[in-house]
Amino acid sequence: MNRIQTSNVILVLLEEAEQGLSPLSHSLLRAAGELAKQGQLLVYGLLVVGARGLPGLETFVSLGMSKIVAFSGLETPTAQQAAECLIAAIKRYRPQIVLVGANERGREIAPLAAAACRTGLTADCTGLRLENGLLIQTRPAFDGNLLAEIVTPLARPQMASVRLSAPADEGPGLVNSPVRAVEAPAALGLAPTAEILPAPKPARDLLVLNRTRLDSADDLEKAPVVVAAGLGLNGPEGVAKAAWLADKIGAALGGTRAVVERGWLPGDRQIGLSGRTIRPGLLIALGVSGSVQFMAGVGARTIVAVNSDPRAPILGLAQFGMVIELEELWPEFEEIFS
Amino acid sequence: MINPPFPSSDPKCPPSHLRDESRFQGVQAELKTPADHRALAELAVKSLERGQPMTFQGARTGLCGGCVPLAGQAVSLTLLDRPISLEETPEGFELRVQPGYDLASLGRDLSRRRFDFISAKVKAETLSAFRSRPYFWPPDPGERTATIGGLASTRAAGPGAHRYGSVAEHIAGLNFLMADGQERSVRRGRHFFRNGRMLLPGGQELAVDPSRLGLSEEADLLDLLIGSQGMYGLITSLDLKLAPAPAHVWALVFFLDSEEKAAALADVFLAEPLSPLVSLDYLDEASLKMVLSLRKTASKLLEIPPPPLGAAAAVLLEFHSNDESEIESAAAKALAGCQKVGGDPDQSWALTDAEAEKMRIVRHAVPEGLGGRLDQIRAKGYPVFNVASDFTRPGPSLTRCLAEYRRDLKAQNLEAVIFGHAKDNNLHVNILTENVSQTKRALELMADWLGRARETGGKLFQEHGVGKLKRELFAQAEKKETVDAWRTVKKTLDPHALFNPQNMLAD
Amino acid sequence: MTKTDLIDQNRPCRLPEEFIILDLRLAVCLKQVPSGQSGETDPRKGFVLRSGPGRLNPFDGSAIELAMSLKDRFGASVDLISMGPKQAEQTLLEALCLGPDRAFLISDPALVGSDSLATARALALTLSLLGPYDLVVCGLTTIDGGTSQVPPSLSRLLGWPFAGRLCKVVGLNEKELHFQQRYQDELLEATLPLPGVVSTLRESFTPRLPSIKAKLAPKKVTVLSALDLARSPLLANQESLRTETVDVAQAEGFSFGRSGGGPAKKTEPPADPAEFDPALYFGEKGSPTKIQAIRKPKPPNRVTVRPTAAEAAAVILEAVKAVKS
Repeated sequence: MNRIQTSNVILVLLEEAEQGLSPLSHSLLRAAGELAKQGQLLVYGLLVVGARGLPGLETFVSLGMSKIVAFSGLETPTAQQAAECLIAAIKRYRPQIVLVGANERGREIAPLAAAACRTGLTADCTGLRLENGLLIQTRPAFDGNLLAEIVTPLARPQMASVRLSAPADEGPGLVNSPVRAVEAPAALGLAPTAEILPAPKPARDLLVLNRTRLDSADDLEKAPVVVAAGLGLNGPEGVAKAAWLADKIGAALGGTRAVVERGWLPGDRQIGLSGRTIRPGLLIALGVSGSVQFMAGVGARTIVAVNSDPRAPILGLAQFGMVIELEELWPEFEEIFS
Repeated sequence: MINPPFPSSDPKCPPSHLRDESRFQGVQAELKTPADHRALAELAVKSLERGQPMTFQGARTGLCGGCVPLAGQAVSLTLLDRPISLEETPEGFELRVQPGYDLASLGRDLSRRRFDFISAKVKAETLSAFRSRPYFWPPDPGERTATIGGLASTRAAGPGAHRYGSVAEHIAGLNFLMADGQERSVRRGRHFFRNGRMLLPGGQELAVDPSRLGLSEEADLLDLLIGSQGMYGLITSLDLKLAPAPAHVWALVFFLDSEEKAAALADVFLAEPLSPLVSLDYLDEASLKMVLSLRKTASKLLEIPPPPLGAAAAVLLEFHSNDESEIESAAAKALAGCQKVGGDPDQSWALTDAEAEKMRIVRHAVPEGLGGRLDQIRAKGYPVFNVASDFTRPGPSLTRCLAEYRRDLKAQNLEAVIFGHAKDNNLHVNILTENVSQTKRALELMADWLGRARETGGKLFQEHGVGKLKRELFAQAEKKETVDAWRTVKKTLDPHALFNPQNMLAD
Repeated sequence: MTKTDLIDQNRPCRLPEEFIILDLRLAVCLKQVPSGQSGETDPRKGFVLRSGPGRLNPFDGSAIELAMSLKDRFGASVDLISMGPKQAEQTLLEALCLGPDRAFLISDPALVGSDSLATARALALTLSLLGPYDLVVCGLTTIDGGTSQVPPSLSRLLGWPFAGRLCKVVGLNEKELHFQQRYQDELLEATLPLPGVVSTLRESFTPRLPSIKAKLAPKKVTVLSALDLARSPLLANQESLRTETVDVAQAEGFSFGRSGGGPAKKTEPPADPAEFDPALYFGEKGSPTKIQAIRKPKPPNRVTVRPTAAEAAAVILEAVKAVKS
């Protein structure tokens, strides 16, 4: 049995956003930077770029990468196309560790690449650390009440898809360490080198005929962030302010049965036992008491609750609870969130 | 239910506590939410001493305003929401619970076979004996968020009443705080009527003819208290009789393309005994449309396909048995019955065990959808109620009963959503009225039907109780001797009218 | 590509006079998951000890409905395949009430403790053994710790193209499937050449309910063991399925299944099935990942009384940033 030879590289699959890299990519690079320090490794970033080409390398200075690998020629790659680029990069650079963001696309790309390499992939990691070259990957287990620490002892590269969780989720993690310049061992303060390769094309792949952009805030059940308006908003004006906040942070808006009954929100916005069921990553509950009927329709990973009633049941369920009258918050919120 | 972190002394009663599911509006009252049994008892005793009336609230899912305060304090029992202890008895197991423990939590704890008991004295052997097989509590009212105290107060029943009866059959006893401030245990068979008299715990004598209250000659105090809508005292704990859960549960739904065929099918099932049958329900076309419209806003219905196009009515059956072949042959018989009345056997659903829950979701979607419709009409500005029937009418077939109702509704130019239990024609006819004239005609129709029900010995206020909403109806429809009998009991047990004032009896 | 009507998955189609029957074979991979809250977990091994009755993973219910709607419309055949303990047979029997043709359960102690790659291997070997299939349909993920990894891994091991997150089927012919995919921020319309693997969203295809007649009809599930998989043609290139010995550069040495659009060619199974060692491919030993530890997280529950607006806003913004990756 030959052990697989690897180099001292951590390969990170990056995504571009409106300006520069996506927030998830930034988090991945922070995580990779910490690991690089722990294990004396180098961070390589991987981008699939289209006709625009690679953005100026100076923009990547403070992100801790030694090299940027860009596959050019694909405007909006399919999962398989992106996976082929990742596989090609893995073959070329033989990284020890590969990190991919655990968003919808990452959850397709990573397993395609991992299966091609016949290596292990741990999905939705909320924590990563190195122990003697072995990547300890932490993720929620089973129904989310426990955490599992997973390793890939023999296969290489060790692949992990990384998901951000609300701050202070658990122990020796590094995913949420503060943003700061991480020094690449080889080059301090210098822009990473770039390597541009032609994107390989998979033999048989799906063919996209057309795309339509979706306004995700409209879709209550699929929204990643939901603002729920409750009776504590004291009227349609309060609900309008909640709607404004939702719009500012890109959240969908829902409400409790009490709010819908009073006509402050239309019926299809009702969340709860006889309304919609939501499973967002984050629920911001404003003036919501958190009755059994309401919570029956909520499967949120994280809840931030604001309620002036310290008795409100939701305060016992939220990860972050705040006892305060919302009217006291709106004036300054108007400035902060604008 | 989660206990809030800080007990609060804020007396203001939030608007949500001034109403129940019927949207009947109460009068501003102080809200007390005792945290535990001792606080509740102290509160009750003090209120009795000071002559302050109390209206008790559970989950506020009632349909008649029974928990809506009109005078005095509102006392919410929602913090007394835990099971207390478990005991083994010769017949099985008894679970003692606080009154605020809700049906959904009971179902969850029974299926997990794990309870968060208040008492530390539950014996390990009892628990392990209990865990050796699954148990259930047979009554299955559709409103799962209702509290056990509320279900006992209204003598609630579910579709399973067809075989299992109401909650009364499955409560072995309760603890009762009476007008003298004393808490007493009331168990089956301890205090009962003899020749129209009962010796109450505490020494008083109650003189009333139980048959006037709709009870049997040998009824006991438990029968009197269950269904008494909180008017005689405060229930502080209940002992539930748990039964071994059936190994197999099947839910069958037949969709028929006409009301006549569906009613005929239900009558076939009533006539020909299907041994594992525990419930037999009927949903009319308007009910199915209600389910369809609720799919737009209720996520849980989206996992269930819509009723097939062309379905004008549905017949729902539930089978419980330890022997799956018994159920299979009953299902085959039911299929044959469907073909006999001209139905299409492919237009049917068979849901087994955990999937049977889907049929209950569909069935419960109808009253839920009705509530939503009420809200919509009210949003237009008219304070409308739903004129709904809740009585049994033994005797005529379902076919005849439905035909009569439809004819009468048509004659009055009214429309209704009709669903309910086929046995004894226990149908909920819901007439949604949008103006005064319609309401008047609907109420007259309802009184007329009540009269016909009374003629064949039906129970006039079956599952929902009387509360405050149906007081006048109660006074009108029931015989004078019945109303007087209720008054007598009230005067004896609660002379100062401090418990749930203004329920049932208009002073 | 043949022009086809939109398929209304809530109504089984009455076939018109001139219907198109496609001689296509579909397979649905499904999983039985614990019903209600999860059962006890074995902390050493890290997997759920199944207690109590299981139920069909809701995402797989959608997958079955997609396949059945294609069967209704085009007369394709549908096989159900599941990997799990013996009690998963019950879920397969119930799923058979919805109309599929056959059901197979791969059940073997050697498979216990498989991670997603090992599971994908087992499914790939089974599909190649029972195949050739034209389309494999899976649910997007499972509700018991779902990673969504199995369907794409499966496609890669089979050497077939993959499309995930299907929300609607537009059409089908021998060469390709025409569908819509839904991502958080966009809706795509695409085609996938067959044979291929797809995964479905949960709410897009409302599962039909079995009719009473179908419920009472006799059904059976064929159970396969790990050794049965030794006869799978996919094993012809054994080296390429295993993990530790594979150098990345050689990993893609084989491809099994159709090339171009022609009929499938079966390759020869390995010469000696007795040499097949399940531990190399499945179970704890055959899985590249291992659970090292299970621990309880610190429950974060912080109630702040009277925060300043700035503090409150900071909490909200941090939480939003954390989610909106």
